[in-house]
Amino acid sequence: MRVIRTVLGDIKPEGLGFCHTHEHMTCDQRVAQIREMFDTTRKWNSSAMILDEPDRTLEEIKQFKARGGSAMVEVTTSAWGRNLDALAYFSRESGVHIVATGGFYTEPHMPREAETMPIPDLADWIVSEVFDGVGPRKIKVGLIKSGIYHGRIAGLELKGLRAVARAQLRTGVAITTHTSGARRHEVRGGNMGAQHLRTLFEEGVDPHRFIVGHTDERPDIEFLSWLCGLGCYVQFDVIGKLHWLLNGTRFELLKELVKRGFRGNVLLGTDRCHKPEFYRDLGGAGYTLILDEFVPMALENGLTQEDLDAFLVRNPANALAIEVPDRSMAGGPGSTTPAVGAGSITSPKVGDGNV
Amino acid sequence: MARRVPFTLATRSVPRIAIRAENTALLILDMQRYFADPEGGYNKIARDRGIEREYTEFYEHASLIVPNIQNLIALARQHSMPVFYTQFAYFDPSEVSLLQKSLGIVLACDDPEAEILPAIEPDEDDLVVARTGFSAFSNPVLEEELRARGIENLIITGVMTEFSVRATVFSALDLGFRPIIVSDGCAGITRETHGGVTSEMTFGMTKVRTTGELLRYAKELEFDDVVLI
Repeated sequence: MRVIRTVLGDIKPEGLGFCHTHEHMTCDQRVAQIREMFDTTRKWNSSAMILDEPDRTLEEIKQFKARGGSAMVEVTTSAWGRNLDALAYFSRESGVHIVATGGFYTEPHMPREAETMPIPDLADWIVSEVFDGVGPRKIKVGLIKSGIYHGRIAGLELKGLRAVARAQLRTGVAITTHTSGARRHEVRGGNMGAQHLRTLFEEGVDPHRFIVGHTDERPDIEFLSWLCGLGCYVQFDVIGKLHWLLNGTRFELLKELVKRGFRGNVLLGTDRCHKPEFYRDLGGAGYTLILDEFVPMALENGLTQEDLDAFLVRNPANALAIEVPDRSMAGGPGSTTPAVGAGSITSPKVGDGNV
Repeated sequence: MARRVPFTLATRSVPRIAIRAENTALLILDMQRYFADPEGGYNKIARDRGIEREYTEFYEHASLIVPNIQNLIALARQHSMPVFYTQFAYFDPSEVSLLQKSLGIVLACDDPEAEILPAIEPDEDDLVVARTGFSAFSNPVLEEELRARGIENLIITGVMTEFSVRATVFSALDLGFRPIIVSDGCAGITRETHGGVTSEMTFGMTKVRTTGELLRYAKELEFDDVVLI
């Protein structure tokens, strides 16, 4: 049986609906554990990735739902502000399906234990995030991540990637990725997709279970087509960040990918992670930018409803779905894993909840 | 909001560079009293004009980069990498430039305002280059000395990101050197423009790295002759 693993339990893929596959709801770089690579003169101001106001975030999620949104993937991993209790609260209060993410973000944001744990133990850790859940409420993740900061995948990030790859083989969940924007000029193709694939192939991962993130930061249609041709998803997930790429350019790239037969490989998101670009009372776009602006503009610029249904409904459902034995759907009939109890979560503070 | 600067969307990706102890030098730009000390001449003019508040951000940033520059000096000494300092000053009165006069910053290299901050003062083996243009290479002595030592990579620190650092990086690229901008080893007149300039400078052979990353590369040099970054 195919399911999508959300923070409130498993759902059927056809129930996912309109879905962003790369967003943040709680995150805090100030708690990142391996910080030696950080700019030591940095100020923790609005330019940092800190989302620590759950009430405001919930309001934005409700707006997303009110506009027709149905689901989001929250891609904050452990060790830098992930709060699974908060995600479950948001989902319950808003009615939006939320898929949480395991695995690792970039080296500075990896758990300190990753430095000494062997790869098999790291893989077990990630598998446990998917199968057993995290914390007393056993909230499970439905996606796993490999984030790369350096221009080459090496050292701790390579170790993390191998653990993620092995966890993927054991769980079936897809792998999503991050390339640091600061390094995109040093990487052929503008993202780490090719380098990720080299290791994933070594580990035996099927490229159809691989989502290449941040492909609209420094895109190249030939490179994107190559990734799609291998079966990977390519994710345009900084929509609205026009300093990376104009939306008009995104439309041209998406139309070309469709023309080349890769409609089924595209995913979309907006990667809200800084307060000024997020909270609408600060001038941000909330989570409704794709619904309110991008979709209408896309239709005016030559993309079709069929294209957008694929990017925002069908493809996310396909990417996030995993096979589980028929009687093991968490939260559903016959489940051996209890769903999160109704009314068990009140508005949490970031940092209080299960990370 | 960050600016659109799509230049590098259509250029080649920055290639890897080889860092060796023998081909790399540390460059410390204009960390002289006049600019880098809040009690120096530049801030005194601001105080006299009642606008000192405009530079609080800069001096805070400038103070934060000093420990990082100290760490990089120690790294350079450990690996026998040459350390070069620059001053925005003239060596000989005949060199006074139109730029200096137009800015009203006409300092001799032995002027107290041209003195390098005591916290990072040069050793007797270090070269201090006085020059009268924005770029450190506006004094040809710097290029001569670098070439004589076989230097290819320049670890660039100092002030101000938007002016001397940027100008020096462009000159370095023009001359075939490989600049490595230390993002937390340079300070900008504002944080916003510092961030913008450092993020926009990643093209050609230019790398941007933190002090922590450079210290990590230096550790690798203890076990290997070359680090590729």
